[in-house]
Amino acid sequence: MPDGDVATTPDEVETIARVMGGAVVIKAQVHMGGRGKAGGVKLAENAAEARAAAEKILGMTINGLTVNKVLVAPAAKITSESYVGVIVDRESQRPIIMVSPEGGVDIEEVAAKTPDKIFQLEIDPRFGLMSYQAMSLAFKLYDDVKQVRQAAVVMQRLYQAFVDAGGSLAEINPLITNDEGTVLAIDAKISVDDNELDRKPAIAGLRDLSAEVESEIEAREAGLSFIKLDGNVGCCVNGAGLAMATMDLVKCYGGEPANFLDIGGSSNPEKVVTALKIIGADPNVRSVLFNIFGGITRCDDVANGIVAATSQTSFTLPLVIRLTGTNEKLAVQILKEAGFSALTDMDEAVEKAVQIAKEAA
Amino acid sequence: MSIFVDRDTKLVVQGITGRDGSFHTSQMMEYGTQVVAGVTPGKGGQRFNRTVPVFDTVADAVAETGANASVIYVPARFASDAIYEAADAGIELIVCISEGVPVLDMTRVIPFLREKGTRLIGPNCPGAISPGRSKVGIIPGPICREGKVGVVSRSGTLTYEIIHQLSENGYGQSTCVGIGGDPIIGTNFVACLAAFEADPDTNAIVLIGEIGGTDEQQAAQYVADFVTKPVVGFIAGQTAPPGRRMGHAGAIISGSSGTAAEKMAALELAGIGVMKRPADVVSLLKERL
Repeated sequence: MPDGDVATTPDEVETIARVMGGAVVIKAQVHMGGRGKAGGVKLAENAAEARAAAEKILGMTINGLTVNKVLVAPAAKITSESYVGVIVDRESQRPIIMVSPEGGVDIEEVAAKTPDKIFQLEIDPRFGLMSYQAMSLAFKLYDDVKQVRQAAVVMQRLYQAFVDAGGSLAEINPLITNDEGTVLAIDAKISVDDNELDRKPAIAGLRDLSAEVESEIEAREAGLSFIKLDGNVGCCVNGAGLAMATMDLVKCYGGEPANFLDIGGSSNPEKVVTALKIIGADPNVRSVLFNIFGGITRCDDVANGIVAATSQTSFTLPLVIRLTGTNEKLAVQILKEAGFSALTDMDEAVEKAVQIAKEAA
Repeated sequence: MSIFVDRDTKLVVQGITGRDGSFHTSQMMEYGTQVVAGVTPGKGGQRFNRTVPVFDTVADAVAETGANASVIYVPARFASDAIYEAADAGIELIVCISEGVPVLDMTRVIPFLREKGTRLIGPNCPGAISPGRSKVGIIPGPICREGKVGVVSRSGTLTYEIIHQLSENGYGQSTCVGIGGDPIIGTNFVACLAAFEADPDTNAIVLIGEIGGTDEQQAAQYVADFVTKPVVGFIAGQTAPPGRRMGHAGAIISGSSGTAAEKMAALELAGIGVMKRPADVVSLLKERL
């Protein structure tokens, strides 16, 4: 991997480029792929050009993310570009390493157009990526055995980094050879499995909150699973599968869901209060649909949460409440006393919520 | 008959003294499940609810009680170790309820279990219930009825919704299995379909899938090739945006693959009755039985 330095201002970029001497490349540092296509990577022949490039890149947005940092690295004289990636494959239930001599481009396009140019092998995670395996793949990329050995080491290190970080994906794109025949990793990215973050605080600390929707951060901190969408029917559901099915049913009855929201399995009135606050803050929302199938979740807890949320705040959105299952009768009683009615049929509730949203739109 | 869990299931509960473990152990015992032992390291010698003996290790529990199945309620970061321990102690069926098990842990667990010949259901699943016989996990007993429909699902509450529709309309269940919402799980749709096909007391199968992966497509192919019993299916996530995890770690459309539309098309091609809404399960079953 070539040396590089991170900078946050055009001044810093110019200084770094002057010290490095020669041509440099300026690369946007964002937690997002496709930055080359978006104009976030530029080549500069000298320090002045580097400054000009930095002025363009710093502050630009790539897929909704603002660029606050750039990497300045010596520009390599590229003679070949390859791809190396590690993913967890659901079908074989193992990590898979993939290589392709067609690097520097979108690998999904290569897979779609010329699948014969992608080579892969399954890794037994108990043994890791062994040398002979890495060599066998590297021979698909290079003829020169010196380059093959270099590339094999890069692959083994990439696999180790993938394991150490708790990755769901790690890739080098491109892996290049330069004019001196050296194999170099020019760009790399890694995606980390959310379930690893508890035991990997150093990696969890890298989380860039500016890259996330504010309501989604608030939801995560409250233990809710929330994804904002563009419709006007707010959805508050227990369980991910039922939450998806509820969104689908909203669409089926001619509406558009405003969000995915799973309040989780254990019942807690506070969660319901936070959920309603988050949904209520979305200006598009015209009606809010509760769909609760009580199992571990107790319907009376949800009912108490609804009553607390609607009396505490200036909550004025119309609610359509469907609940059935554990402590349903108690819940209906609680809601009735607070002036709400509850339905037991999912279709009826969804249809009603869609209708209210349509009339209010 | 039924699949995976039955009257002869002798259950050990790993994490029996924890908040979730103790609550659901009581529920399982109330339902009639033979809970023969519990395991919490350091609490060996105690009794749960004055009846169930607690052991320090699964090996002790098996040696003393002859337990043949285990259910795991431990925190996710300890779950893979709990699975290894149960398999090593000779347990035949492990049901892992814990949510949030790292996927790389599962890549190591799966080949270990394969060598031992152990069946794992889950992780991140509600478990299995054979109504009137035994329940292992957290599926609410009162919504189920004894009967002949086999239910297999990647989801929790959505499964309850569909079981509820079935029970209310006179379709009892032979066994309901929640296989879990993670990208790597121990028992997939195909394994459940094979078991239901072989079970003489199951006469129809309900399959509840969702976006992400290709398990439903493989299930559809398996139904076309090997299943003679009527099958109806549902796929959740038609309105899910690509690239986002919809609650379940495995429910994600990557690029253009794993969409609800492609899964529904695969089910239809295999002759499976595809529900537009969960409520359609009854009318579709009626047509086919």
